[in-house]
Amino acid sequence: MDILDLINDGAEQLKNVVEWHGSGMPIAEVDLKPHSESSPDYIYEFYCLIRIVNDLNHFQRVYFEEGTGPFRISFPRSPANKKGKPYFLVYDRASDPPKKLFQICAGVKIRTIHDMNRAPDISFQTAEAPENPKWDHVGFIFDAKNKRADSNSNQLGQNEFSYVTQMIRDLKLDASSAPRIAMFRFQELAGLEANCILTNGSCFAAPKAYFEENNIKIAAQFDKGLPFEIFG
Amino acid sequence: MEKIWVFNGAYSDTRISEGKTPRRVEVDIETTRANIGVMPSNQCLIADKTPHTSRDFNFNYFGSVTEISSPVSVPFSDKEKTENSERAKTGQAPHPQKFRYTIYVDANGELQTRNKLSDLSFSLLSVDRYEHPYRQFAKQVRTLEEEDYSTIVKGLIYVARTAFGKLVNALPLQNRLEFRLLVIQHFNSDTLTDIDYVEALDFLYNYIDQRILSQGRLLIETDRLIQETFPDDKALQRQVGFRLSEDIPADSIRIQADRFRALFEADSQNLIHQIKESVQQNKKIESRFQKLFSRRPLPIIVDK
Repeated sequence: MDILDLINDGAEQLKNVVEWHGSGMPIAEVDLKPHSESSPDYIYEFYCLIRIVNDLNHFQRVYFEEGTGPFRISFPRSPANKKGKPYFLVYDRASDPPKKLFQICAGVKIRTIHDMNRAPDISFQTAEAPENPKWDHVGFIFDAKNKRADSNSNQLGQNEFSYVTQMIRDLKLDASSAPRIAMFRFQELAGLEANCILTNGSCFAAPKAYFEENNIKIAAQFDKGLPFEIFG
Repeated sequence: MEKIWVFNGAYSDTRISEGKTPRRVEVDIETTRANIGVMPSNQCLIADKTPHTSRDFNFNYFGSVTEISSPVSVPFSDKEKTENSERAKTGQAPHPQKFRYTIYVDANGELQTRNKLSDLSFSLLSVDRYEHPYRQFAKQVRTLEEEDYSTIVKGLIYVARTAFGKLVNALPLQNRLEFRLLVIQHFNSDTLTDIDYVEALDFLYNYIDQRILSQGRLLIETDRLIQETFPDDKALQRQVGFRLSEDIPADSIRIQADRFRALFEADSQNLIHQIKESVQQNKKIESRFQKLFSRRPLPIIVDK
């Protein structure tokens, strides 16, 4: 085959993936508003969500709960109101009839103790949490931090860490707060039964107490096919 | 130095004599100029639109001019006449008078492969508007640099630059802009000149892998996890995905993951490796082009 044909084919195949098939949006968006709540890292965030859902399904049973209208089966790409959005519902496998344990929501807005909005990438909410959840409906949060391998630093930044720990305080999920959902059980993700930052990058060095005091764990190198490392 | 011409036969029927070489080709040119400067014995190329698309050209024949007819005034069309009388009322200049020339060419050869403008555009000095190379050849008559003539007639391709140009411009504008900044940083060249194309290709390949293909790998894995978690829910497997807002169509993870799977499968032959091999095998041609293009910036389209 002529090298020219190979190049032309290669360029065509590339064109076929660089934009989403439906919306036409770039698959790898450039972060034009780096400090806003919404980020183009929703693909990594959703991967983290599904990995959690998949893992929980081993010892618990997870169901998909449809949203309504245009969001029946589609997740919003940036923080949104919970109303009408799909989520996952986790049941106890052992109990008969199966008992609802909690909900897993993606990027929904939650009212904080100071009546402000916060939208963690993933929140575990009480089984009966309403459409407009408040801090006291939330049991755990997970935030995903996508670190590009080609960026200058793929280490989790202190500011990113602080952003999540502040969210933990705003939702009163600190160590002194009473648990709001029953403890669940992970299989492969064992050790991450906590408020977590999941990142495909690395984590800065800090004493274990630092993470404990902030009631948070970090899973570093959290990516497909890699063993992750837990901090805290 | 005699001029070299490209005659664009797209606007009229090009007439070709049957039989032996040199074949006689006649092409009609309409222009507003009363003297186009074409001389007998000038070398030339005859181009034509490719079928099915008006955004590309084929170079079909090369040869030398034997004769140019005297210019014939082209009568105004009815539309032009009406417009001219309208323009006269408002004091605007009328449509200019056009002249038709018939150019007679002895075609020394017919070009059949590697003769598409879109394939040659990253190998031609005459092209610098890579988003619309056909526009730079849309004129019915234009001159051509000697190097470009030789490139076209010999069917030469600057493989490294063509690969770079076609692949980088397959990316969305946002990514092209981002990549351009990374190139400036990495190669320390804010003019994007004097950069070795093989190195630029490696850098581009790394960008595509880290930025685009990494997303594909995540989508494929997410798709697999969904299928494993909800094996009986086919609708969920097929449709689950993202939506930006109510009025923008939804994106399915499965459909996009399938596209990435197809790409990964097709690239099992390793395109970058084959490009480099081809560059290596055609060292003489590549270094000829390298000299010609050393002052030209990397062809990254950033204005659309």
